Amino acid sequence: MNKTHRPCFWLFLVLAMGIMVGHFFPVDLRSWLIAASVMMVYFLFVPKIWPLYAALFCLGAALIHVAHPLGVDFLEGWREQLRASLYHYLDDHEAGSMSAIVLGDRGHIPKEINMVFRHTGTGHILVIAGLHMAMLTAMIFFCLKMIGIPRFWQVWGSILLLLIFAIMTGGSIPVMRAVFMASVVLAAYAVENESDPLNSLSLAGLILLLMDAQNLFDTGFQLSFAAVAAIVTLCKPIEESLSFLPKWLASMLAVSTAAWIGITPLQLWHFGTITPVALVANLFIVPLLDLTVALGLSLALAGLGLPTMAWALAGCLKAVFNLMIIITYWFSLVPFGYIQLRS
Amino acid sequence: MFYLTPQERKFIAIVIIIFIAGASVQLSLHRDIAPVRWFKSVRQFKIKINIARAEQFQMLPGVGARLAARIVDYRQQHGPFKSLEELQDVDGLTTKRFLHIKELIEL
Repeated sequence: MNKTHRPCFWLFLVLAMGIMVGHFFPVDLRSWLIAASVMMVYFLFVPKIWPLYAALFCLGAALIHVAHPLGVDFLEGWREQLRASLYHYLDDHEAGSMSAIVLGDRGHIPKEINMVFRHTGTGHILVIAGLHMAMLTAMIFFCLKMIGIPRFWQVWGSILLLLIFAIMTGGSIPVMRAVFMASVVLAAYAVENESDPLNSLSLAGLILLLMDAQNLFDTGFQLSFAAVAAIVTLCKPIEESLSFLPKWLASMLAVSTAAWIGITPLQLWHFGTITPVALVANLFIVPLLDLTVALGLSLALAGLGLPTMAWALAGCLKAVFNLMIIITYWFSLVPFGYIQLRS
Repeated sequence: MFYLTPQERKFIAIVIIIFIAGASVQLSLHRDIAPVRWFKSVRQFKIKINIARAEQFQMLPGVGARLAARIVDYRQQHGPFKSLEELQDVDGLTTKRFLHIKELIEL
């Protein structure tokens, strides 16, 4: 075990174990929550960091419990306008999928697109999650930097906009997980400190479990956290073992393999399937997803007041998005790419 | 007079590239040229029931390994399907399930 300080990681473990025991045995959950809270004392030994975590923790919990229901109602109108903008410049098939990728509205994904993504183990593309939020964070940060405001406000402005976006898209578990992780990374950057990814992930998990302990048994929660935890812990060793390959390729393969290792046991448990083709498919699809998210968000915003720019952005998006789904379709035809072990 | 920082120049260059690329795609989509025809045909993603393998049938919602194998067995015994509706003759493929997958298949 290395010497990195990970208070949230240990707290998360204690809380998750408490919830597990409370789920399977008639033990009062509150006693476990109290036991977990006692570990908060641990924060006191890291004077520089704990106020930051505590502030983010309170902000996250307050937003989920207090602002979330009100925020959803208020932001629903904005979401509707952005969706209308996508439907205006794209055809129904494209707009249905882009609405899921950019605005978290999964109700209108065409059946055949859902089918090919599910079959290639790349269904995560159609759900707003870490990859999408990372791109959004980069875009927001870039725009705020362009305006030229001080670094402190760039960071807190980005966190605020990310939270608004998360609430606007319905605040699903993968989105909230990604937002809390990004917030910790950004906040650590603001105070010129390095954040530990496992600790940031655990903080996100802590907030979501305290919000609702039953989240631990939610398939989306398990897949989302397993994938990121595997990337955080396994990526480096895998990349080192692939050192004979060019660095960029080794790095992409390591991320794809780590995520696959993380989610495969859960995929087997919940759905009875294994998708070996996902290992290679993600290498081609993920870079295109970054472009798709950036273009999709820009189109949704440009459609509100810059029709010529929106028309041009829609052209680029059509090319990139359709290339992504055609590649996914080709991967879905690979023999033994998708193995169903039980119905 | 118009001093731009390197970052602003980069941003303007990206916007111009996006505009030119996007406009080219939009204009070519309205023309009947080979790449556009290919593109429109390839993105249908329908399962061709007379040539699909068992694992391709498994892509359909509600079709597992056993039902997929039964569809292929039926096709081998009775020859190619003459209509989509004939799929309902396969043991286990109910009308409800057929209606659910109808728009995802073709002959």
